[in-house]
Amino acid sequence: MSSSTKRQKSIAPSSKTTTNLTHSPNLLQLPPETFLEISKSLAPVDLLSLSLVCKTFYSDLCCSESITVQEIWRQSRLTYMPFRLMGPPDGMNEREYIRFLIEDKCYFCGTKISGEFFFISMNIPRPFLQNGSRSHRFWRDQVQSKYIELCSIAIEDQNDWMYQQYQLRNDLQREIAERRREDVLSRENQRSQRIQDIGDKLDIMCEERDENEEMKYQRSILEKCPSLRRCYTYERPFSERG
Amino acid sequence: KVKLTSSEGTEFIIDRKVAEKSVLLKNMLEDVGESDMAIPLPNVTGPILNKVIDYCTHHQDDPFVSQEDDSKKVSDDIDDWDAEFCKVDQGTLFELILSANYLDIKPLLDLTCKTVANMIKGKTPDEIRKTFNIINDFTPEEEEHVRKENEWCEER
Repeated sequence: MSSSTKRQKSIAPSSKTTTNLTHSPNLLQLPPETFLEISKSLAPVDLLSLSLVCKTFYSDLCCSESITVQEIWRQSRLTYMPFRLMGPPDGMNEREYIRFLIEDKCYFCGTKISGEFFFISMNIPRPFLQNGSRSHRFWRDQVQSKYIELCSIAIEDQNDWMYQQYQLRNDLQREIAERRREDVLSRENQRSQRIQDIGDKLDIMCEERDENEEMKYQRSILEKCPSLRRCYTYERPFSERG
Repeated sequence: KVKLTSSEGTEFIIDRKVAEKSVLLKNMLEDVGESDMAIPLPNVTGPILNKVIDYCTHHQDDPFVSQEDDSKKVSDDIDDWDAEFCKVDQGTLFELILSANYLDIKPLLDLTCKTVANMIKGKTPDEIRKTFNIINDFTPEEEEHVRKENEWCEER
């Protein structure tokens, strides 16, 4: 291998003189299909950063009509946010949804939301919510559109409209609770699968012997290993390193 | 044996097995059959073709991975040889991506794209611009809009 890399190095500089390319290609000049190929192995956070680099990337990654683009965000969410299996609500695209999930504060008052899972699709504009409402998580666009809707209807019908919205909200809350249960369930499944995998790996390691036919590892010691403990709870895919 | 000519006319003679890592060449060879004619590759320069051949030679015995089988998309699983292979300047790396795309060598395309993805990971938009020499072409108004969208990542 070392001989081949040496050969590369001796050839590389001459390439600039032999080819008539004035500039070697850069990230911006890659054809869209390869750009999308790169995006496929990025986490949602990195996709967001990338989309804010320049106009080209912004339009490439923020095109909500493109199924491919939506699929990239979706795949990235499923791969890197493994316990956010629930999809975005109707009308919200994957990119907005991911921002929504990452940004953990209220759009209006800036209150940090901690601990509690995400609570979206509150269909009622904040001013109309009962005081002391537990959720601070709203989707700004939706709230705005609802507000416009409310302003457009006659005052005498507003009470009916409000009632309707409360109903809608209750339905949504039920749906969210349902989906959340699904998420928890899949999380538990993945966890037990993981414990199983680690157990199998341990069994294999305990069988390994070194050159003197001595046992390479002792199970009791292995089980005390702190990195192993972290493995059990760590939410990422389990790797050999662990 | 298969003969290939790079864009500047340099000739490369490689095993058919190595050449068949490229779906483009594989299909061509199947269509043409045995032939002494060199296959011209006007889109690939000699040094790049040389690297591509290195890659295909090293991986000639790997099983063929179908297009659909992309369950392993996590980009930290690059083996040592591949990582060493990708230690090239950015220009070369992007030319490799273009060639892998043109020659249709899926594992090489995956590898090079993952390498670029790793260069992007964990960076702020500004750091990405610096890394890849990209000019920020947002107008001040757009910039303001972008800055708002950016707030979350500056806190991190």
